[in-house]
Amino acid sequence: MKWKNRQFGELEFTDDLVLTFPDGIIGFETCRRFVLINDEDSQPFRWLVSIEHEDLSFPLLNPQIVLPGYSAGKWQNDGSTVLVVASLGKEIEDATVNLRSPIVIANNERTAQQIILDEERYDFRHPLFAASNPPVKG
Amino acid sequence: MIGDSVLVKVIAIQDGQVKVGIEAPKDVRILRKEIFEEIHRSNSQAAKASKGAAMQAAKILQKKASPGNQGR
Repeated sequence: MKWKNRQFGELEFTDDLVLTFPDGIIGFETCRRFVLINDEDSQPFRWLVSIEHEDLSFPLLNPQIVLPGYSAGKWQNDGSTVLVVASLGKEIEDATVNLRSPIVIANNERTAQQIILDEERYDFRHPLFAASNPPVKG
Repeated sequence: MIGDSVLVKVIAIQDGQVKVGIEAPKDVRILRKEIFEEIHRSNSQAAKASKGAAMQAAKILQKKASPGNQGR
């Protein structure tokens, strides 16, 4: 299959790489079909690219990069892939990741969903850079 | 009932408060409005991210990941 995305240009992929979100993504319920791409320039970000709307893509991160030890509980026990959505605003220092509702991809089924964890310790807007960058003195 | 598959139950009435339970099929998403809005907002913002912004963020992440540069 071929698809042209505004940011990533022409993409070519086989059918088995298409991820289906049966419920869509919250706020984008009509968008069901995506591919997950690795873009060398912006790694470790990976991109969930819609193959229905040429303008739509979401930057994702492995949550372990943001918060080592992160766990999506029962959702990551079956060989699935858990990724978190990053919000990158105008001020890059203010970037956040949504640890509370990660994207879970069932590798074998080629389906994915955005789940909502019960754990309140995981924030919908967890700062991507803060805290671990304390000012160095002396 | 809401439609023919969603059941709303009054679980308790106490101190002027009513506790309501909702029973729905597994594939029906039940979400507090604030939570829905929170995720909606953050997804919408994520959808606007440019590759350039991600490249910038990636650089900062890489700096953090290489402690050699920070004299630790």
